[in-house]
Amino acid sequence: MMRFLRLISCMILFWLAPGILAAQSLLPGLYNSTDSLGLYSIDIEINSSHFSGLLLLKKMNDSTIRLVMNSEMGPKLVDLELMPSGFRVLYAFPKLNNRRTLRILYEDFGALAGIFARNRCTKVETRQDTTDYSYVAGKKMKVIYSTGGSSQKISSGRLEEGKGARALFCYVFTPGSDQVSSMKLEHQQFRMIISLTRI
Amino acid sequence: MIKHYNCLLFVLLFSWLAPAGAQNYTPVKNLVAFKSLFSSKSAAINSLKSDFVQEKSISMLENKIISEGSFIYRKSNRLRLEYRKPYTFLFIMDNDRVTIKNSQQTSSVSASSNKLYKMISQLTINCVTGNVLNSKEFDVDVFENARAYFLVLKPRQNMLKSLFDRINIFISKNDFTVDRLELMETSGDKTTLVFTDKKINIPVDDEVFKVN
Repeated sequence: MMRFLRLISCMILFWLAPGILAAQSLLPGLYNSTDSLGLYSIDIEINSSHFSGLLLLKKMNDSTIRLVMNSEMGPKLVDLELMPSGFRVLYAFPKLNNRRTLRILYEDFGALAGIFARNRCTKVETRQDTTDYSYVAGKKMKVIYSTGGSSQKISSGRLEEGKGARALFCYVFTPGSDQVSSMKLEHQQFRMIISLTRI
Repeated sequence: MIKHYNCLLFVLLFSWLAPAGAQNYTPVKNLVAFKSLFSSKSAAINSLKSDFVQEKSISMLENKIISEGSFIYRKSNRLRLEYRKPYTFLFIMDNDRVTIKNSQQTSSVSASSNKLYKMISQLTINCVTGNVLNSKEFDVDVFENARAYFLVLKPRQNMLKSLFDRINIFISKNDFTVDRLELMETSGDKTTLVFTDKKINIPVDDEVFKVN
């Protein structure tokens, strides 16, 4: 019985591994980089409000990314640990400290930082010169990373909830390098745009 | 028992030596006289221009994030903070109007609609004008040594308490301007602003508080 279970496990791994490994090796910047620390200037537009500051993303271990958002002039606003299956709040400025806001930040930055690629790759789909890699990003949420053109780097992606796109995002790389120089995420169901530029 | 006694003695000795040895500050004896002196000296400052270096220490980072820029204040409620390195960021407060410009865009809001900006800009202006001593938002302890006053601000309000454990302000005895500002956050992180090349009461044009 045990041998049979081991055999089944090996077969499942053998079947899943190529897709997972293919996608992970292509994920940009933070996720695979040896220099996993990223300091960005951040700009968030929500409806008519505007916020700017500094964002620090640091890979703590294979399954945890720490996110710290500061205002330029001083205090820390948000400090989260992003994990493939959830997040932990280490600090949140009172105005931001509600479950819905923090959940949105987790999903958006989790998608940008690539933390959901630690979850199971559910689908790999190739069309012409683009390949899409789908990962679970929550109960009803999935994140899809797409390679762009001949570079075969992940250059864009989308967060999908049910059948609709909730947010679209893209990466810009430093020329001749695998390092992400900027990222942008735009929500599709309400006005919220996150722009990150590496410092 | 002797071991515990030694430990206690060591802790007491260390806690007594540390602040005294590091700064040599002693409490200001006549607080009323100090407040009066500080208010009158600050009232004489119509404008202030300086450079600054900001050091941000974040617990998860080994290195500090160091940024540089310039600071311009003009009576009574105008402030321009411009970060030039390693990122560009401009903060202008012109009475109740706050304008922010970064590498991406420019936005303008009422200071009263953004609590965080209002708090930081008001705190900065209060430090320059001396109003910080009469602030209802902080309990203030004042210390001094031969060269400077050292103000320790402990927040009273809940919102401020959630952000800051305390704020340290070092004021020069020469000109009664702020030399150094330390924002000690509840999380253990710290932001230090050191002001250099200060110029007092030089003409500051209206254009300085506008964004091109």
